[in-house]
Amino acid sequence: MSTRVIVLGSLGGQSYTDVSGARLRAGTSVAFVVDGAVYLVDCGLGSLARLLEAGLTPADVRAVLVTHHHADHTADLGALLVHAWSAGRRPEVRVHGPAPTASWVRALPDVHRVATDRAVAHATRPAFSAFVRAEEFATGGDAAVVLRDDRVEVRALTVDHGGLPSVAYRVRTADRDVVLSGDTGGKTDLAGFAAGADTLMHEVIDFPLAERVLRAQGAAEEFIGHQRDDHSPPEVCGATATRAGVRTLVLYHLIPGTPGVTDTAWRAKVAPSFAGRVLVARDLLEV
Amino acid sequence: MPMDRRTFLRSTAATAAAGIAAGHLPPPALAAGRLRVVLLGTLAGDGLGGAGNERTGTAIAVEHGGDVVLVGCGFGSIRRLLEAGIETSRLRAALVTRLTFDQTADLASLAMGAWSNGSNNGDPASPAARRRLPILGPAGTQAHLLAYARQEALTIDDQYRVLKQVPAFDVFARPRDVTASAVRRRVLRDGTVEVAAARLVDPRSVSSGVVVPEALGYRIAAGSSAVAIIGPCAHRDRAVALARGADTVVCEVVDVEGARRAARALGSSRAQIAAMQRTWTTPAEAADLAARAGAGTLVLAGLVAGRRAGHRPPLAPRYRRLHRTRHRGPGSSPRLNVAAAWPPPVR
Repeated sequence: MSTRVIVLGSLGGQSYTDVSGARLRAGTSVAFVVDGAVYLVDCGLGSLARLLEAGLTPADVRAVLVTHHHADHTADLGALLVHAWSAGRRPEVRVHGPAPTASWVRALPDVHRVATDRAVAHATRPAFSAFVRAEEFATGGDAAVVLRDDRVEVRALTVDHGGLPSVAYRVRTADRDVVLSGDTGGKTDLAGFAAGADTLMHEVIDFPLAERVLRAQGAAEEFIGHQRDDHSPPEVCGATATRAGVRTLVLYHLIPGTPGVTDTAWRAKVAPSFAGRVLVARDLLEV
Repeated sequence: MPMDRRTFLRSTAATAAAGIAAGHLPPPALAAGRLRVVLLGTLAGDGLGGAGNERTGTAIAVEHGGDVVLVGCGFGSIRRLLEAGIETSRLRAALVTRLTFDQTADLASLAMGAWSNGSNNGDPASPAARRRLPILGPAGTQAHLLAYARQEALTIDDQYRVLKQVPAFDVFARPRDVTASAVRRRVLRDGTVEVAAARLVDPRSVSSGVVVPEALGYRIAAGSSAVAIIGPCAHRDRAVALARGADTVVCEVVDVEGARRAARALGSSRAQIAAMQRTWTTPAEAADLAARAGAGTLVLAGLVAGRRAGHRPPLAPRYRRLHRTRHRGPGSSPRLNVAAAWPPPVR
């Protein structure tokens, strides 16, 4: 059994402008390809196109794990699911995540009512409403297994990311053990959760830079505070990786994702707190 | 709209290459009153069979000055919009010809993304709070967006109440079902851009128990320039009337044999395929349509893949060949452009 870990989208945030880097990067999404079955962690804007560019298809997707329901993590989820259904995937796709995953999945058939009714009529497919299965889990407690099958075991840990329930995931396969931070502020200590993993994929923000842009745009203090308090600066990523003892740290969910902030610049910010291998995510990077 | 093949290919390639290389592409200046058509996504059909990394779902940007009207919003459309250097703040309207995945996969996310791009300043009196995005399509478009707003209620509330996005989502996104008539009728005017629509497939117009979705065609005009966009079409005379006098006709076309083969592989019956086929336009029929409308340029886009599994020859040469070998239309043919595949991004 072999596992490929592919970054489909490396951009963080819901701003799709030159300033954010959205021209170059798709929204956050990471694919675990385990013996041909795809497990997606998040499905941000443009990640479906990246999935195809990676040589995969929606029909390959067995499960999606949502870290939280901000649009930069879910924008392409509906499109992915309808295309998986349209491609005739069987059995169903499972969507795992914290609230409101269950209500989100329940509402999905209504969003695509006209298209799916028509497709059922002309191609004898199972009802779309039965195709997507929600696996919502509670947040707030200790880390717990949220998915286990013949290929992967996934544990989730609640992290602190402002108003929406949010989690980090640890994805174990026969040959890989990878932790993805989701979106998290400094109040959550991921080091224990990530201890012994081979790779930590950690979201990152260059807050001083982001703050300058946001203030120039006249953003409210609440929004600026969300960026400061609910995301992680490079030094926190590095320190967490060091304490967890991982060999590789991948910076992803980059804020900003512009070419102006180079890989070298990101690495320099992490270097004082982590001596291991550092990768700066870009779309279609294989980790 | 002067857009010969060389100009079209040059601008497409240059646009894409610049975007990929630098992530930065200033749109070329437009002459006053001229429309520019950017084919963002050129793959039609429900499935992504054979899509690979060649094409994304149907989406066409029609630019006039700094304003953009988007027609179609299939998967990957927003990605391509950004790669083409068109920020969502320039969108004046999003239109869909029908409620099928190849038109709507990214539509709700477009509404969300365009909304989220505004200022989070929490000030209802700011210019950002006056932003609106009309979203037009056949019956069911409004329900599609309203259902999405319910689905994303918690996220929208967080964005609005906690993160101070203005205006409220339901104030910004303005979905509307177009009650288009058989003949063309104006459905939107924004500044100097006018949009007219005509119904090219009637609701449940095909019998035998097969539901074929209603489909609209659009005509976008500004100054002395006009572009007609024709998707599925069961009434070619209506399409000709809609397109009459337009500089350019962009037409969704189907390789009938390939599409029939693909539909059979998905389990569609003979009657079901026949019903769908009544709304398909072949490349040769598109040429006839454009010639009858007096259009100077025909663009074959919205190409239905219809390929055998695992068989992925480039689409454009196949459609060009179909057009050349089967076109027997009267009079002189319009110039032909076959939508080029968008170059894949840097790996």
